[in-house]
Amino acid sequence: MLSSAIVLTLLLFLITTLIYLTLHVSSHLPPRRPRPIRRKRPIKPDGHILIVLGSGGHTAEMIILLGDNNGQLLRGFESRTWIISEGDAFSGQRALEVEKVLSTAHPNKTGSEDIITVPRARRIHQSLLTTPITSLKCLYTCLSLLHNNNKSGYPDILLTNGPGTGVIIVFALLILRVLGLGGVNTRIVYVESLARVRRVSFSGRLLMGVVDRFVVQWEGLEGEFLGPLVLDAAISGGGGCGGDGDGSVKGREGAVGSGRVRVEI
Amino acid sequence: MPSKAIFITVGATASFDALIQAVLQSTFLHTLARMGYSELFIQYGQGGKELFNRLLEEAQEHGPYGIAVEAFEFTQNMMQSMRVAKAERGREEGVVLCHAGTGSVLDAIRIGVPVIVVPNPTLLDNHQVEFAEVMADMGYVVHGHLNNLEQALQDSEALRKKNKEWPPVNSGIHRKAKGLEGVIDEEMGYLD
Repeated sequence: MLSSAIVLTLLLFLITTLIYLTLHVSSHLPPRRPRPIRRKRPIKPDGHILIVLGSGGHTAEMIILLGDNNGQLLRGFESRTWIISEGDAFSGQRALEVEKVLSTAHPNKTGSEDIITVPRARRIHQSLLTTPITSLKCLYTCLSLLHNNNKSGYPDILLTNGPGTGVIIVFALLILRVLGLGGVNTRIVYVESLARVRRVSFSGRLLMGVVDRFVVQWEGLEGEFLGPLVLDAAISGGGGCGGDGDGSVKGREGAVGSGRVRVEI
Repeated sequence: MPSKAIFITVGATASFDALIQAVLQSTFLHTLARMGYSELFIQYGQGGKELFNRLLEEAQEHGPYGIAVEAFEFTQNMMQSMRVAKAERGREEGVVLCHAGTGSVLDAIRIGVPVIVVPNPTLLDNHQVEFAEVMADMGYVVHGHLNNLEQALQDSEALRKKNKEWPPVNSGIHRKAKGLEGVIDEEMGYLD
């Protein structure tokens, strides 16, 4: 008799805890999350945006989007934090190019930029056995850079388009939110890759339910359809980022190209 | 006579041996020569060197085609390298032939030359075919098939002609009033 009473109490306790946890976690996720605080657009930009650059196609798409119209989108932010993966010099270079366009188009540009490198969640061809370890290392770095090692504090906007690092940094932010450490006011914007025409990517499926905005570029995909943004930006010029027509880049290209052989056939 | 270049790229991430094979086949090289191409640039990617060199030797035996071939593994600045396909520096406008990765395709579109997009059939979760199809349907690129790149070359001439028409067919037709900037403004809570 007594034992069944204990079991019952424990069960009730467990259920209550579970309900509490579920409610607590879901209060930090859409649709229960509060809407952004409405305010007037400041005359001098004061926001902080964090941009995750993956590698290859993800970076290319992001740079085209952000470079569009001389970096119009980024001009609304006082500070920009760029996240790149270890060993990804390509993305670091592209971030610098966008910053250059920003300061050329706006010589009086104020604010700060910060490029932060995080360890890779998984290297190409890395064994699945060791992947959890490297992923945890990446997660730890993301947690600490969001919480402490970031001179501009928590970002107002976290923008990612689906590389692995983006998934991990979003989860890091969610963890910090649930633990009550911060990040409640950070709005997460996800832009699905232009390459995804009929199905959302794996990253997209992981993040769909937790981000504030889920933008897709093709009609018929689950999400908020805005048209092929990256394609439009590419056609309209993309702000000249990406190394097109830049003298210094040509110099580098020469160095790379010196190993080339020319053969007549 | 100005030279005319084809720029071929397999992309940075995955290898694409079938594309290297296809573009070094005698029929393709003959078609290139017939269509006035005198230069072929190819980025063969990581691990593609051995295959490329072997096939190049074979092609030399079957030649001559009157084509200068320049090959390299990878470059940090693909877009700059692609410019050989542009009508500048003593060249007439050529073509870019690439795998169906968005980075390569968008670079080629941005420099404004005709693009032939060839999906890599060996990739898992192959969304490249869908991407190539939709881009070709909208008239931005030619969807090339590995077994008939000669046809793709012909089609690229039609695309070139279409791109020269005025007003430009593809300029910002999708541009939505809101865009990504609108989404971000909303998330920032701006009232205007």
